[in-house]
Amino acid sequence: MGHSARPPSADPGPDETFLLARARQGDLAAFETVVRRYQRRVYGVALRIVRAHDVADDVAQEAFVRSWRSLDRFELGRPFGPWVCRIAANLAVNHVRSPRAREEGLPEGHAEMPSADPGPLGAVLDAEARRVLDEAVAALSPEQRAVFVLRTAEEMSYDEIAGALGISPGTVMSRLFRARERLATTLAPYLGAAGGRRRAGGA
Amino acid sequence: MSGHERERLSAYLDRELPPDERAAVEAHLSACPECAAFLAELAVVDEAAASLPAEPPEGYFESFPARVRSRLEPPQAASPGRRVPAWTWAAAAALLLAVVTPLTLRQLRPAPAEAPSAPAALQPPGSAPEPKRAEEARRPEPPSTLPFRPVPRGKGGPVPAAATAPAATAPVPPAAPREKAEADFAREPVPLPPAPAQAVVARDETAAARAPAGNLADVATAESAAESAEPALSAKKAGPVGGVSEERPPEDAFRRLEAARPRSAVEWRRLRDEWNAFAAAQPDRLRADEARVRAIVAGRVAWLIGGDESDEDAFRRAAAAYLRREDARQKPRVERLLAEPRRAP
Repeated sequence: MGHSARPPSADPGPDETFLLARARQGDLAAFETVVRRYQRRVYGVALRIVRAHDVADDVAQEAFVRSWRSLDRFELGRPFGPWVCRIAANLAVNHVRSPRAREEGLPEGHAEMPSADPGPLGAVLDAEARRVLDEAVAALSPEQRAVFVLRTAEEMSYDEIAGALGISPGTVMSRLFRARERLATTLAPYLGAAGGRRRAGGA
Repeated sequence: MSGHERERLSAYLDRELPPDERAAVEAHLSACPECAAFLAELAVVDEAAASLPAEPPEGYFESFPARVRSRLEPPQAASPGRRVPAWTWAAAAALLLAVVTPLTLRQLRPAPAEAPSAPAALQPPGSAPEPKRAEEARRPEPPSTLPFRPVPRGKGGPVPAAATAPAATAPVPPAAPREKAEADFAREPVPLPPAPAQAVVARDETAAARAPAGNLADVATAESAAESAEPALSAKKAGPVGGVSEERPPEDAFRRLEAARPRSAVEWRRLRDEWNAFAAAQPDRLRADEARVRAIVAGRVAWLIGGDESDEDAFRRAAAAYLRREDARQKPRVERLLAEPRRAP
């Protein structure tokens, strides 16, 4: 998930507003450009919540289709990314909550995904720790996971998350805390002093 | 350290605390190593979770926008070179006319000399389109009228330029290399005519209009299904929608209507009305029956292309009215039309 080149709440800029205005007129090419721009974010949100590629693909597609259909209600000038991610997050939570998804069960880990490089945390978390963390994320309730994903991967503010999921900012705060606490507890044996040292020295 | 205080640490991490609380937390952290360590753990968990792989299979994002777009594409919004699933309906409709026409004409006019199966009546494909129409065909429709046609995962990519052998010299069966149109059209189980060259009646000018003359091989399958030679009937000069002229004999009017090549929902609607008018004025019961069915087909295509609910209503009413007729001879055909899966809402 590239969340580097993404200012979460920044002005979308004239370019995006223009593209969306065109899209609203029915310009599919303009909308396709917007899709290309946000597909990774939307897919990432979906995947982190539903935890299966095929489902995430469905959710991501559907999120864009719905955003297209609702473009009339979208306030031009506001950032599109959070809006479509919010649609995706809701679709994802609804899917996980659906009877069908419960029947199928959630995949335990990211087994079906290609293994990614360890990233900057490779030094902190070994493969076993990552597996444990992954399972712990999977064990969160969908609501907790949605809040956690929108915060950590999307870097949304509490207000944005609250708006996205239709809950109060206070609920966002408590769900987020409970999610983090569970994950931290699960991961504690692997963190040890390393995490503490790392953090104490950092920002 | 209470749960509430820990919760404040979590919010502190997110910079979501008001200034006074924030200052209080910072003051506490400087004096409490336990809380500082917990805060560090929370931060590491965040970072670690965000670093967990969330990558799709390779190449996924390359095709994703096109797949989304294909779900939104109105039937006439495809641009050249792009795959054009939305053409299916127009092509299928054209193919329907192609397959049905010879049968009908054979039934209606037993005199073999008049049957339009004479291969000599073929002309080469690719008559030059009118540029203005090509422009119109490309214009997307507003979102409110967009069809919703999920595209199967993994399907896509440019359809190989089909074997658009000139139909004038290659009388292939109408549905031969035309997988896409055929797939959709397969639900219309009209028996194939024994003289396949007649399929060319279904040349779809809408498709041809978007391809430069002589470059039809570039057009994807759905279009090539419709693209072909057409019989040199008197109808070939009859504009996009054949009008029923009272000066012409009814047979000529029939041919003109069946050669009509609507390019839009509006034109399909007009064709529907013209078939109805023809049916009303047609003394021959067989022909009137065929015209009524064609009006229903045209109305259905208008609905499928335009996505207009009133068209759907009109189609269903017309079909129901037809099924109530005692002299209706093609009830199964109309019932099938009614039973065809409609687009998802």
